[in-house]
Amino acid sequence: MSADRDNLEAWLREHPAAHDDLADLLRLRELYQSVSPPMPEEAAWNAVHARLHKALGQIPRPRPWWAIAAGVAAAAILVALLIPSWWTTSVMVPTGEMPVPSGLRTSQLGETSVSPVGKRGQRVVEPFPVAEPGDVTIISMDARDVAALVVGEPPVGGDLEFARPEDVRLIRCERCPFSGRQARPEPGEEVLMFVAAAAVAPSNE
Amino acid sequence: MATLTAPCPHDASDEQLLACFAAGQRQALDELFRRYRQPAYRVAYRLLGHEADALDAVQEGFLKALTHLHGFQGRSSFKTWLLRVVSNAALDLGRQRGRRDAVSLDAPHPKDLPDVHLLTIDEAGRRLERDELRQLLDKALDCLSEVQRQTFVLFADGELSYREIAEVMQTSIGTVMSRLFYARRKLRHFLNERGLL
Repeated sequence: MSADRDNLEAWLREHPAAHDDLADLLRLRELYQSVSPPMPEEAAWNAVHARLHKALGQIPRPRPWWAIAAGVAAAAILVALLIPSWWTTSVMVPTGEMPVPSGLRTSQLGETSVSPVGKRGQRVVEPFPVAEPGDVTIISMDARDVAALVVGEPPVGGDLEFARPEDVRLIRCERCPFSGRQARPEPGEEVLMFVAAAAVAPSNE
Repeated sequence: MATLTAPCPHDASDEQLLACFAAGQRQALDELFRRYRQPAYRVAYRLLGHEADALDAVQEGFLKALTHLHGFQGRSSFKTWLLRVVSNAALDLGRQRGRRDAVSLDAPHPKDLPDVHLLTIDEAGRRLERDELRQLLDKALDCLSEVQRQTFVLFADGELSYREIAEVMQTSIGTVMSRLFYARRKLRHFLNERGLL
């Protein structure tokens, strides 16, 4: 502080006009300090003081270190108990199905609802819908993340169907050279299947 | 561990009182409030121009200052920290409620201000009664921009140094000096036009 004062005094000696400005400023401050604002009554101070105590009393007091340590230990035990349960339900279950968003229009899937259990009985994880697509506005993003950004609706909402069963005509089907089995078309209601016929026994003739 | 249980002495430093308060001793608030309620009120009143509003700002300032002590970190004095929070609270209140006296929209540009000298306190006091003088000085503050008013009030009523004002307003000392320079010229011009200078 004394160094600051020395520097200031040296500078003021070199700039007399600034010295006058400073003197004026100090006189102005003295004028304002001489006419203080009207002070509140003691009752008003007491009211403020009481409100402060009340407001601060509603704020939780800082907890002692042993309480914090006990909380951390309890949290660690809880995590230790929950990890095996989470491991068996989430990691050990095979996931052959893609997760189905619960907010997806189920008519596109040909179903009336989305079951939490997949077609093969595996567990389907439903993400928690936090917003509709129209609710999201991307303001900015890191350029390195652009490649991961998917914008717009998927081109096909339902099952990807290349052809109807009646669109398929079998022109030629060769017998399997290893098993000797012959495949033939088996028209179903929705899906065309090819079923291998029983192997032809070699003829002794 | 002794500081957690031993009562805080009445002549404790601000740092000791804050440590007591942080340890849960609410009585430390009483002493801090007694020490700094008046400078906090003076600053708030000059910025708001109304007693009830100023008391609200003081209450909010103390509350914020004591509940956000992690932002204080002891880099400045508690008074500086408190006046920073109180002045900001007063400005927020002023924006919400409006300063009680209308701000002059035709304040002169600093370059147009004449270079005149202030009267002494005694000379000024002879011309105006104390209350009239106070009202005139408060009215003069309306000529200043918000940052100029905050800077001058912290200097005059908060009795802070340039360096402390720079800490409060999170700016450089040069900016503080510049704001005080223009504030002084505007105030002098306003008071001069009304015969005080």
